Amino acid sequence: MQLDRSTPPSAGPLPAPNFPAIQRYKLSNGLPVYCISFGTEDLVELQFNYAAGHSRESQTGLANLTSRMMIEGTRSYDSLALSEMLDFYGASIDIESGFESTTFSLTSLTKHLTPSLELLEEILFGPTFQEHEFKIYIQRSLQQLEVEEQKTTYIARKNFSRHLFGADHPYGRFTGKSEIIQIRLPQLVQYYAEYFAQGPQFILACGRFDTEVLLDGLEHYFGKNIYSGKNIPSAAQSSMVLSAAGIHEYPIKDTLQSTIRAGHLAIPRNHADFNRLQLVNLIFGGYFGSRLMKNIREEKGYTYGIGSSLTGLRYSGYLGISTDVANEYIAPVKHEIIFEMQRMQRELVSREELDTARNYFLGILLSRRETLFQIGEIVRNALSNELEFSDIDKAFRELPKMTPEDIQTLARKYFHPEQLVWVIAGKSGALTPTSTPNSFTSN
Amino acid sequence: MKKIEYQQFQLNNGLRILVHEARHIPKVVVNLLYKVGARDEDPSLTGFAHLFEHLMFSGSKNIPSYDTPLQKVGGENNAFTTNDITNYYLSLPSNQLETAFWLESDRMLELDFSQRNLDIQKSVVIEEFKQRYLNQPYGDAHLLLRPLHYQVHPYRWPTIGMELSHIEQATLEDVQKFFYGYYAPNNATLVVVGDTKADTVFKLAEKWFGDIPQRVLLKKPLPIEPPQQEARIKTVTKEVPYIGVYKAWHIPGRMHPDYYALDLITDLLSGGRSGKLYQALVKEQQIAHQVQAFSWNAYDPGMISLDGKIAPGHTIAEYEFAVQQVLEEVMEVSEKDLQRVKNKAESSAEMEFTSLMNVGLGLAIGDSLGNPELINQTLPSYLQVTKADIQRVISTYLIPKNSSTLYYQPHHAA
Repeated sequence: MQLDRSTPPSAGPLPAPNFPAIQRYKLSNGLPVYCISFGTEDLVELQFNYAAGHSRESQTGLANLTSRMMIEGTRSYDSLALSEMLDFYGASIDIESGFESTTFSLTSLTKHLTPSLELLEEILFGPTFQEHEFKIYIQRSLQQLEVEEQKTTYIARKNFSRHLFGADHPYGRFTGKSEIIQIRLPQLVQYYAEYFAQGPQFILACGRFDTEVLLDGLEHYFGKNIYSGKNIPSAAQSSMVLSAAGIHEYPIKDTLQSTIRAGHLAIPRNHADFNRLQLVNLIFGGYFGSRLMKNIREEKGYTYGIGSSLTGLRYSGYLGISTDVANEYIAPVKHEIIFEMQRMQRELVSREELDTARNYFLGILLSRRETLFQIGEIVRNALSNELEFSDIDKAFRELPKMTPEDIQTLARKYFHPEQLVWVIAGKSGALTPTSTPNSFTSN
Repeated sequence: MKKIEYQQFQLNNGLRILVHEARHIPKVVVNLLYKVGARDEDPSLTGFAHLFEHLMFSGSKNIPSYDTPLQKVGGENNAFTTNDITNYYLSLPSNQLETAFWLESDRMLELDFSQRNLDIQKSVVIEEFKQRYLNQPYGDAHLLLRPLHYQVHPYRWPTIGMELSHIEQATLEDVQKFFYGYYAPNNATLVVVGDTKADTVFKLAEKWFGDIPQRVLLKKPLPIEPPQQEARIKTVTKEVPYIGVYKAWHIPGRMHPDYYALDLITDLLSGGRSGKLYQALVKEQQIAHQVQAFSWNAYDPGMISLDGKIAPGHTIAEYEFAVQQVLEEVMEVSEKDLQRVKNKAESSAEMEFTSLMNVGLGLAIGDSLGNPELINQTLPSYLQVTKADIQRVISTYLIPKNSSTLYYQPHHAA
């Protein structure tokens, strides 16, 4: 029988989501520990989450630098000894310091977890903040950033949040050269005492482990320290947003391409419309089959890639678009971005386009629950954005019901082309300057 | 580490099929590797294998759009081209596995060759070239290092191509010739990993790929790089803040037994924060603010490269001296240091194989090198490396007359 190659094989429904169970425990000092048993490899990832970040610092960069200096020497080990021991056990510690929180993630083979825990206890509760290590760190960071300063992508990223949220808003902050230069070691010691010394907000364990053994280890190293459990307020909750719509150019000499970053304010991660608006964004510019990608890359060949994303933070959020384009395409690309945003508001999407994007979205959500690291990140985001665990699968309940009319309604409610903040790093003068940037404020 | 189990099968047209079953989530990954890369290109048409990879997404004989039907069943895909291979991979919900067979078999059967698609992908690739290599400080360093390191072997150009004009010149006729000469069942390995059964996969493979004819391959023997006789040095001056030093030594290809000791040396040098180069040059002496060693696991003889940026106030001579000292120190590696990089290799392997995609790629690469067991033999091979091996390979390969160095000088050099 001749094979019919033009008709797709019949497709069944997507498999049902099955997020692994999350167990909640408490150490004797009250510190919450979340455990997720997941995966086939004998690995474990432990995340220690602190309420420290841009929204809880008096000077930009304090949370970031304090956390990084914590692994550069402790009461019993110097920086080299710590690195060598961690590497000896095949373990690694990653530090992520963002707007609202700072996380230390320890990844280790399960069989080597105990010695790694001891080292982590030293790092979290016994950092010594040596002047010598601080100087080396600052000098190296400044030299590396000097190279970054020549990249259009870096310059655009660095300035985008400031124009989007305003320089005085915690979400407008960026730790660049000029911020690092101003930081002194005693400030880090002080910051540590205020934001790290009282212990993490929670511990999250994901991987293959014996829960009892793990809890015993955590109790031994982290159950006896002080745990205040107090909620440190975020400045982002009360700061005024001052968004500067319009064009902001950052000329860079002899550049072949320019980076465009555009965006405007949207909704926080825990907003009721967030998942649904993510689907709107997906159709607009959020995946390879999106309108921005089809129009600007696949039909016109203006760029290697263009994408938009909906970023949900704890107290705010934004729609952001980003691309690198040849200098001569800056103006046409800007035109097409606005055209596509308005088209989302003007016309109904077809059922076909909606189904494709939704199935893709849900398929990806299922697919990105593959590794312990992905599972751990999903749970950490839920915890730090104060989502209910039952909301982790909310998109699977909400999105199948969405209609083309819903997409249009959301696009009309949340897309505001006239409020876009445009940052162009690279060639200047390609766009007709708007007279004065318009400001939009909100709380 | 647990052994990665798999079953294998070959169709009459030569297509190799490997299956690894893993049922912890309802997902499958399909990895289709074609044994063609930039090393197979004509020297006057470099960058072509990668340009061709882009065209593989522009529709095939019976399916006008590759991406949409896959997205519609909740799947995603991507591809990459190296100097040796072109690799396509998809992930999708496990009950949609057949969609992957439908899509991949149609584009192996015949592409929708169109001038318009070619023109658009040429401009996309030209923007990619600029974005990745030309519009970054030091972005072209490895583009310049390669032709210094290789004089005759086609590894002398990168996958993106030697220059933009080669991409601009590609014709539709080149595209067709390349397709029929390399995109053949007898030049490919298909790996399926995840929530499925080997029997199901073999049946699907027979159904969708079974009637694709074997093709006459364009594969030709590649020139062999002659042994290097003396150190090569090149200097360029550009608008950058610091002196960059890019050094390469010839090493044997991926299947050579010395590969493992050489790769562990790069870990001793710069793997993790305890790496010897990082400790000596960045932290103790502060001669460099960045230094990184890589081993390139090429199919043909490859390279260990050592990239560094010199801190202001220090000189190339100081840097070179410090690097040499560290290499001598590594010759006398302690048992503890050697154990450390082996332990790191073990945990890296565990981490790598948490991803189905990495398992699929690992199996495909091994198979394309003629040994699918490579995925299980790699970690034990690292664990067997001795101090004597480390000493032998350093004195055999990491010596000045086997090296090429590119000095990337700022305009306002101190």
